[in-house]
Amino acid sequence: MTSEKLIEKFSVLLNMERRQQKEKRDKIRALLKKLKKQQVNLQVKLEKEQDPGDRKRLKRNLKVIQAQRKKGIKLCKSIKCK
Amino acid sequence: MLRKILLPTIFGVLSYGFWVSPDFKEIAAGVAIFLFGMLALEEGFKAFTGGILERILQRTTNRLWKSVSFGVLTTTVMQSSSLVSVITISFLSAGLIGLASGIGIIFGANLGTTTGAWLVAGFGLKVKISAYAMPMLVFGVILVFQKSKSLKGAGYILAGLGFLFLGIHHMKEGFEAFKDAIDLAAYALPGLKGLLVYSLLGAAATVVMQSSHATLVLIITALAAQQISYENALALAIGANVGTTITAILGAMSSNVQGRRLAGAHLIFNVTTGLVAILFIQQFLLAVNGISDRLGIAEDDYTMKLAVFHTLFNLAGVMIMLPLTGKLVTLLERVLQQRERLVEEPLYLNDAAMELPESAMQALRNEMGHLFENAYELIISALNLKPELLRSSHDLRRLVEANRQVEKIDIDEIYEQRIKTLYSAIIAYISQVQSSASEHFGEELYQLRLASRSIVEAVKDIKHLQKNLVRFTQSPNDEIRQQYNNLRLQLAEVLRELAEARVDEAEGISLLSLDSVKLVLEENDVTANGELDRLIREDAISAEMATSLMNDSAYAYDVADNLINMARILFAPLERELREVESELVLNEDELEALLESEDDVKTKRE
Repeated sequence: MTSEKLIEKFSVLLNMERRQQKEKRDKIRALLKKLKKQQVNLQVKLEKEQDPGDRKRLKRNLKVIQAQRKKGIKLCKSIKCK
Repeated sequence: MLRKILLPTIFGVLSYGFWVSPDFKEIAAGVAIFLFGMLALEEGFKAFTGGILERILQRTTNRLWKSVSFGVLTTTVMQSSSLVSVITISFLSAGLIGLASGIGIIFGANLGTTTGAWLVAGFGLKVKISAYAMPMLVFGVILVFQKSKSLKGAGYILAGLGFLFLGIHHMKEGFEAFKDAIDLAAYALPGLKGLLVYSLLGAAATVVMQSSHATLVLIITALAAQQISYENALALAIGANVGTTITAILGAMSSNVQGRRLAGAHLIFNVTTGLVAILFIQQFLLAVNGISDRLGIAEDDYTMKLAVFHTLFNLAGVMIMLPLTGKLVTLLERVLQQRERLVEEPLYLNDAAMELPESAMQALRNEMGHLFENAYELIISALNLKPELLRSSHDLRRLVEANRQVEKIDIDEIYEQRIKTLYSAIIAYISQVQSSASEHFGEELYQLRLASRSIVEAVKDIKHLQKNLVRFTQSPNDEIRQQYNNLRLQLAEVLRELAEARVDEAEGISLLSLDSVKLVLEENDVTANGELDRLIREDAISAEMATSLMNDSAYAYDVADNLINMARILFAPLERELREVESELVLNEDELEALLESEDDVKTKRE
């Protein structure tokens, strides 16, 4: 680990506001990952599904997840998610 | 009657003792200071339980060996098996842990408590312990006056340890002086008689002091001053081990059946261990001598030998009982059964769970889940559907069509039997918790109160809806019948989505899953989607039917909306930060509206 990184880590540790922001960022990232996983699952299911009622339901859920991910990514960017 | 005279009698005997012997006064004061130290320690540890405790518990008690290790570790740190067992009972009654995990912790706590004997025998007697006590007390008390919760907690722990050390010092001093005045060793009883009498004495002393640790320290200091014989000290230690279960039994009295089962397991374990120790005392003594030789403990260092013995027989108990945990659980579940009840009573709300804010909050969440389940089943039944079928993967349209006509059920009666008592108990419990828990939980308690009201509102809405549901699903008019069956189908759809969102609770995205449920609700709103206008325009239904349908659609919407509102609170993640982040991603009304208006623009992998 370079000294710059070490200083960065140390300053994050000392600065409560930055620490909280970093924690929030990590949580959003983890949530986005889960949503992405669920989206992929739903897409796979949708491709296999033949029943119109179930297809409608899957599509609806996909739409919701896509909207939530979009919102999440925007939020992440606003607090400088790398 | 007995209670009324017990306290004055104890006061009288003690006062007489103090008057007769100043040394007895010093020993008793030592015990009192020691117990006070334990109270302070307890207070200190409670300050450190805010939030992280549940996560630690879930991770550390999912396997039996982990539960045992958890018990050993926490008791070693807290130096009180009684405290650990009472906390475990409160966790268990709140549904935070299972019975097998609870038993594991209790086994571990019995092993962990033996470290106390080592500390006192190996360190407390050889070092001038009061020298450490004084600065601890001073620093501890200064910290207690701080505003910060964690500093205050640390202060209580430090002061608690200081008092423990001071207590040990006074007991030691008292016995040293006591032996010049009276020789208690003259009352030593050899053989089996002594073993049994002193075991009972040890148990009785522990019941009075409610701390096996205090009894053990008393035994060790008395043994060091040669006031009791080595054999009798061993018997006292065995007795203390049995007597300590009284705290757990008292704690379980205010608990639910799970807590009582755990107290039963504690009693069975300690009595069995005690019996094994009494029966095989000779073998244990041989083993103690062998181990002491290996550890380099002097032949006449009886206090250290006592510590070895204490560890050894508890270890033997754990080794005997651990493989039998499964059988013990079965036995306790059979002997201590849940009472059959006509009116549904709370399953999780009890005084034992109130012990810590975390367990009280968990008990509330679990009870809310219980209330939700009851309300959920009631609503499904009011739609003339079967809960188990709704939870399956059966086609909902077919399910609704298979039971076309709704039969009236007595919602008021079911409400009285299965909802009202739970609702009242939850509201009362919230008020109780609010007065004792920290502000940290204030907002969540308020939310839980709102959630329980939402559940009850949903039940009341379904009651209003049921009237016309029964009437119009039997109507000769095809259109109105169809519309009311549609209402049933829409509600069934929301209910199924809700059940699925609850499954997502484990995946940690339940709050977000509720957006899909909300979208189903908005899509199906008959007044908003133009369906009602069409029916009136085409004269398919009468004006009276139209207004009924309009009102009932609103009721159906409210049932679903109330359930979703409740679920937003109940299914939310426990961790506050995560809950806040998830809430930020939840779609608002405008965003849902935009989704409703958007075309089917879902991209699949192939597209």
